[in-house]
Amino acid sequence: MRAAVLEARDLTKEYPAGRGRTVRAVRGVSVSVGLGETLGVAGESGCGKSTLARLLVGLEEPTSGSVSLLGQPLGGTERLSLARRAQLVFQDPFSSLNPRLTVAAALGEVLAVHGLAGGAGTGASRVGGARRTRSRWRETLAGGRSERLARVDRLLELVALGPRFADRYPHELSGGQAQRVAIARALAVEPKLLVLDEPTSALDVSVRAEIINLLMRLQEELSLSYVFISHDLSMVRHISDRVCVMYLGKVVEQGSWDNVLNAPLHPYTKALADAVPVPDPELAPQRATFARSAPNMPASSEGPEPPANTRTFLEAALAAGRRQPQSGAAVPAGEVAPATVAVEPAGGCPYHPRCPLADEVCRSVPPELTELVPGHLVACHVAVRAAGGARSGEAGLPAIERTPSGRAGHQHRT
Amino acid sequence: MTRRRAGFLTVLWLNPAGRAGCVLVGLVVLGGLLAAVGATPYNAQLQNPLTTLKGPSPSHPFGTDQFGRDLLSLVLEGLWVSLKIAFLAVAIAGVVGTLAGVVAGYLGRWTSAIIMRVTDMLFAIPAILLALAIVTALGPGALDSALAIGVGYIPIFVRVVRGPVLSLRAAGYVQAGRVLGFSSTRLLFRHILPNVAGTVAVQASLALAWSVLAEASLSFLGLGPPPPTASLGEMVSQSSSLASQAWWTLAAPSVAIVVAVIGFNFLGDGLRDAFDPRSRTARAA
Repeated sequence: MRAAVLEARDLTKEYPAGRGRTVRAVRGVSVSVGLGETLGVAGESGCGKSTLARLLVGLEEPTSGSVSLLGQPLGGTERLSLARRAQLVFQDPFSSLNPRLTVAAALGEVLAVHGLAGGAGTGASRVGGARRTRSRWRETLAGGRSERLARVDRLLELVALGPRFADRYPHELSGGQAQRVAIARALAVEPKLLVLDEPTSALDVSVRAEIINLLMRLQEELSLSYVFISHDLSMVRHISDRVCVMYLGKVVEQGSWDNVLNAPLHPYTKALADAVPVPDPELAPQRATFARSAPNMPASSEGPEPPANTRTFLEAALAAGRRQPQSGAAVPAGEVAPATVAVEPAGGCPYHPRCPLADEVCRSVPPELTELVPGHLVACHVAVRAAGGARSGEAGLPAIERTPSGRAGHQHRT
Repeated sequence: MTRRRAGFLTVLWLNPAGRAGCVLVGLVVLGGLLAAVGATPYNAQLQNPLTTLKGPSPSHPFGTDQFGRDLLSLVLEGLWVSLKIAFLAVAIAGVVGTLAGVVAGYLGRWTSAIIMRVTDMLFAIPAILLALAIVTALGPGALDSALAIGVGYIPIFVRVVRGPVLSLRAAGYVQAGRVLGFSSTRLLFRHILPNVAGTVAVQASLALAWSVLAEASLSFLGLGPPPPTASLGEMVSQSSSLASQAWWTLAAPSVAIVVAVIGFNFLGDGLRDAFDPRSRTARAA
């Protein structure tokens, strides 16, 4: 494996949620990213992706666990040297740019604070870990003399924006241009790692591909490492070397993108993969629409039932599941069910209230991340059992049609 | 290809309210400055028994009072005293209030809680009552009046500043700045405060209007700077018994007060628009 740029171990972040309760946004997450590698982090809204991003760049202190960047632990690091190892690109490019600063002023400020222009190289040599790749940065960035404006122009060029953008205000930019400026600003400190928190979700569909391609080109040119966070699996698939899937603050599956997205072991990953739109309308009705209702939203059972012929077995199973009080099994009688599962996750597997394959074990014992296939980890009792039982079988989710429970069909009122 | 962007003052001037504010405030400040350098038409304190209670005329545009003093000169002097006190009061309120608001918005819960409770207590007392109490305690005088008026407006600045700071602290660019290793001081003074400056300027302009009024009220009640210092409020108070025979004795100081108050209000409106960076390019096009 390549040298680790980022190594996060057992990260947990809890927030007080009032009345003595806590939200455990991130629960025991361990990830690592190698040099020039992209780790995709996928999961639905509220699964802790953004909190993870903030933990990785030191914007938040983890409740427990540790992050180390380039071999140095994050805790207690001087903020300038920390900034020069990892940067964060936000979802909304407009809110991440100060409306009062022109592009040149915003980029120039970063260069000035870090002493990266004008020769007064304070801090430049202090970052030991970043030294090895500085020569590479020089080639790419320091075309002109180290004057700040020339450098701003070089940065703009790096993100495929011309120097004419230098004296524009953020409100004079399009979404894609603004995101490019945000990327340029993050790159201004010559980081090794970029944490991209849904960098394309706020953009027009037509611009997304441009940003993704830009990111991939930058990665190649500057040997950057990425943590690419998105709820959009098609984006994650496109850019990632390895993928980790999060559900309610936990990593439920992790492995190479090929394994995770093409042969998912966890039912949640399967559901996510199925949620990617299928371009062929003839194929579309055949795929299983897995998870309709998020656990922290009220179940929307009042909607019209889909026609019987397009209902898959899975939908029926889910419809049955929806009629039960969600996570009610985990809450002792007499207590009010928590408004969100994230506040007090149900016992056992966090996914069991939505999982069509869940059984008694899933409801009581939280599954551990287990390496089923070399390099492919999953936290699912059913998948582990299936792999243990039939090693010879294909390494994928056990076919749902073979699920031996008549439960779903039985409880579905027809 | 360079885009031209209108300067701050141009934007202020192109705004109708801003232009009206500039003209009126300019008029008031110019008048005050005339008094300050002693360039009034007459010596304001010069009494002339031959010209008592004369109506407006070419030689005395605002008329004369019961002692034969030139009202224009008196009004200009009073205006200067009022402006001095008002600016000083707003400076006190603005600086103290903004700092307290920034600290309350940016720092942790305890500091914030203490500042906000003190602010609430100050808020509960009517500003003019507070000013009365302070002036009574300190004794009349320009500086004392300014302090008395200023203290009353501190809570408004705290409130007005704290809210935006609170939300700007969580703004994307402040977060980004933190990730980029910017110091708290830099984030506060370069990224948060400039984005609050517009609000503060607007508030300051409005507070100037109120302060002129408050100063006039204090001197109307006889708690302003003692004679022979000219004072608009005192002029109003003395002319109230004469108004039936000599309306100009009441009109002159009142008009001065009204022009100053309206001017500062308009200026506040204009400033609010001019501080929005979006207004600049829109105008330059």
